[in-house]
Amino acid sequence: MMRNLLSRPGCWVLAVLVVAALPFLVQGPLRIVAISALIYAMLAASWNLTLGFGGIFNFAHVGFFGVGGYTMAVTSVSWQWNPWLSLIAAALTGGIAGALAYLPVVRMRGIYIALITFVFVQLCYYLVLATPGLTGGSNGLSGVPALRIGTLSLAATTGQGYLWLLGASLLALYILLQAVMNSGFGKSLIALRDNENLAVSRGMNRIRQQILAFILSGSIAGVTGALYVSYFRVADVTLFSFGFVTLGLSMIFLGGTGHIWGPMLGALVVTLLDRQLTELGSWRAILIGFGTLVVLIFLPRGIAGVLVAARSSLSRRRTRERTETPNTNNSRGLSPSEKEPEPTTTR
Amino acid sequence: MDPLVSSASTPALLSISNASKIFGGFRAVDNVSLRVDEGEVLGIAGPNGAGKSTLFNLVSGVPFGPDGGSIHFDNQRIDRLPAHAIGRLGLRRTFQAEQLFATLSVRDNVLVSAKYLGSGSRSGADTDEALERVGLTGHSQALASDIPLLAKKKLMIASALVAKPRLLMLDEPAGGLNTDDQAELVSLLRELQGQGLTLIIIEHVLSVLRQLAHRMIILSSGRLLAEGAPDEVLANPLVLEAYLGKAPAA
Repeated sequence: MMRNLLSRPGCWVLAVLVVAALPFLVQGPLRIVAISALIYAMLAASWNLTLGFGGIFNFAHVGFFGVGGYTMAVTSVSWQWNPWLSLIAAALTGGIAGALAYLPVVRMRGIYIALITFVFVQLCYYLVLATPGLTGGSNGLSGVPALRIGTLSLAATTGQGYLWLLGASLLALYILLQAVMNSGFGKSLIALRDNENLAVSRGMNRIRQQILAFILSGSIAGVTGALYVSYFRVADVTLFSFGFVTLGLSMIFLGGTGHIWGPMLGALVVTLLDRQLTELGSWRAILIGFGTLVVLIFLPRGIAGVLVAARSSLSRRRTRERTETPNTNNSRGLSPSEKEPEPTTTR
Repeated sequence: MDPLVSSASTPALLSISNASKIFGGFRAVDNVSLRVDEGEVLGIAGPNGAGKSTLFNLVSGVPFGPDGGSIHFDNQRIDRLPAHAIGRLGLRRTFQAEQLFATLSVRDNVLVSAKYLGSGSRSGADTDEALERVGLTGHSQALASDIPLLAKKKLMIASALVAKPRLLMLDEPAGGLNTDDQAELVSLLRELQGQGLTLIIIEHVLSVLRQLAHRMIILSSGRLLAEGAPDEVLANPLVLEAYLGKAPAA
């Protein structure tokens, strides 16, 4: 098996150093791009739990993100909660939203799940508009307080604290998802995606496993939405917009669904592209959409898939050169992956 | 009650009473009753569309249970249980084509099955033992989709062998195998049967059933056509007619 990205102590140190150095590496107007990229990376990586590893056409994920965002705004602005407590509440409401979104699709498959879960996002949108007393309606809720540690605001010095918090959160999310996908639960999600009948005959309760995946990914999306609202200080109905759905999907498919870090990488690429193409107005969405289509057609495993395949190929070549021995496989044909195993889908 | 069920003096490990499955107006399984005793190897044969795999589906609940009748396993009625719970009772099946968790490694295929079938082995010892029993230890780190056909067949069996199985239902295990691989598979199944596992085998390769089965049944058009010792059943004129379309000339 391929080792995960943080399997070596050196990688750990490097990852922590990069997070610590983020405010020094990213200065000025680039900070908002970096913060957006980190937030989108968390959104895309948590979405991939159900969409990529679970193989469920779940479009409701943006809804969980919005629910978390509004939880932060309502509880911290209207109810004056401590923003850290609001963050915990966002994890809870995101998880509950995940469970609620899954219930109508329990018996459904494929495109029907996509349609129903997209309706969930639309319901959230109209629910916000229908309850202006709570959510601010079409005006949204502004003046969301920034997260603070003691008297120090994380928004101070153009978001230095947020860069640290989001960098550390993304690292923690990677570790969490790695642990989840290496656990029996994570493998059962892949098993149910790969072969539902076999998985059920091997004791896996599809509904239980999938609802747990929705709750977990919803909870992470809720926290991500709360961090987004906390940084930008406002929650409005655009949190539930179709733009977030297409943006998130572009990131996941461009990065690659088969690896935890694929959507994270996709988020970075799409955010940077999006920023570079700002002057093109509506054309930027068209270009990013077209680019995603091209990737889906020609690189179905995304950038991560290409990188991993290249690494495996290089590694095989090195092994061949080092051993300089002819192929000794038996007539029943051991595949190359048995000599130099391909990475699993969970890394 | 069917004579097959009522005549037994000891309780059957599996008993099926008047099981039926109807798709629209088509009776895929039509009032089938049979029993399987502990330690027995039962062979099931019949022409295509006879209802053999559908019968396995009804027993395992995957992907559907029966419309009528009842199924008992180890004195417990199972036809109303959710499918995932049936596997945990020790009743396991394989599928006609090679059904695997293709993007997981060979070991993970068995490991995840062990976890959800109720294996108490946290260290994976149960998994490693199952892989060893079928001779797949050397492939354990390979991706399941990359291994050869016989290894795929063995992997389906290995994932059913964890967490104390009592009955293993094999759907065309020899399909697509050459004669050498068939011999290896027969040897493996003999070993499993020798270790006390009860087997039900659907197979078109009748030589495999002749070698393994203690008893054999023939299904045709969803009904039980014949039942008895393999040689006796395969010489039955009704069976020959079902396979060949007409009775041989006297």
